[in-house]
Amino acid sequence: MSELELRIRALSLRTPDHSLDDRILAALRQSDVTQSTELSTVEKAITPDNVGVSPALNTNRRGTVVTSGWIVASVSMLIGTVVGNSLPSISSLQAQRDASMNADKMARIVGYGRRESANGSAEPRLSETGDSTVTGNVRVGSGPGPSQIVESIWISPTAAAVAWEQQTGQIFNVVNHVSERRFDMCRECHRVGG
Amino acid sequence: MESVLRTELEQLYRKHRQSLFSVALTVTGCSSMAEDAVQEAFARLFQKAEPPEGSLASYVFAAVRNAAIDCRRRQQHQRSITESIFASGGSDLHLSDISTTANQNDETESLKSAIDQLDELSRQIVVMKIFSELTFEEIAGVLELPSATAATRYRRAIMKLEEELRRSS
Repeated sequence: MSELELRIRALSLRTPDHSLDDRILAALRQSDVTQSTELSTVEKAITPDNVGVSPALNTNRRGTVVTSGWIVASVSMLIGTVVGNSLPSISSLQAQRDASMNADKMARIVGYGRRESANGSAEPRLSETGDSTVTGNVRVGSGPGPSQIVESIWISPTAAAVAWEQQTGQIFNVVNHVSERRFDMCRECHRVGG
Repeated sequence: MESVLRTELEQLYRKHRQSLFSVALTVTGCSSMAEDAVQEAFARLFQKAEPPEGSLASYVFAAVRNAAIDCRRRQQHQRSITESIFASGGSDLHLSDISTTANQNDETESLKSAIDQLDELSRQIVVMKIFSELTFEEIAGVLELPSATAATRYRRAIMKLEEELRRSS
């Protein structure tokens, strides 16, 4: 190092104000303290102001999210409609089930009717359930004696008439059938009120 | 910020605070703005999680210089102010080094004045080279210059100062 450089080094540079030292050292300590909570602060501080996103851009982003939500909902509804239409309807399923099971159910009803007849009842009578749409089991027999539980089923009027004729040995007459108390049985069997 | 980096920054500030302030002062020409620039630079550095790849001293000097340039841009109207980077009222020489003659005092003041009249870049190079003992490689990193250019600028500045002193004497 030359003589001039030594002379320059001997000079004294200006010293910054002590407040600068305080500010910098305080900032250093503050960064130390905030380090532990930095993650949560960052998580909470994701706002347009902090991340440098302009309000207009933020509005556009929110609008994009809303639009995307509507698109997803619309597509979901469309898919649901297509799938729903492709499936067989409930009534058609019911009709198919009735067609395949009518014979078996009629036989069961006939069997129960005969047991009721053995108890002294001239005609089998299903008890009131109070709700013609109930699909659960219903009690057979209204007397004080032990009742039987019969599966509640739905059969067509024609099949019900045949079953009734087999049970009673009489000719089925629609007028008499509906106007008498047997109407209850119809309602239970048909689940539609006769 | 990692504790190691934090400690290094604090040590670096304590060691080079005058040089850092002087570099900022050569840019801003105003002591208050220079202080703000140093504070702003360190505030930015404290947000950094990772240490720089190269020299930390070079990195900090560059941060201070850039912050000072930002301050100067924000307050262009104060550009006419140019304060000396040296303390007034003599030097911090040891008693054995202090010249008591009026002639030597004049030389010291002439030297200060000559350095203050150097261009901004040369003053920064002189401060970083002589007072902070940075290498030309580090100085080049601060000023974003080739190291050969930084060395050349330094030698020219020294030669210019010698001429000024000869002329004044």
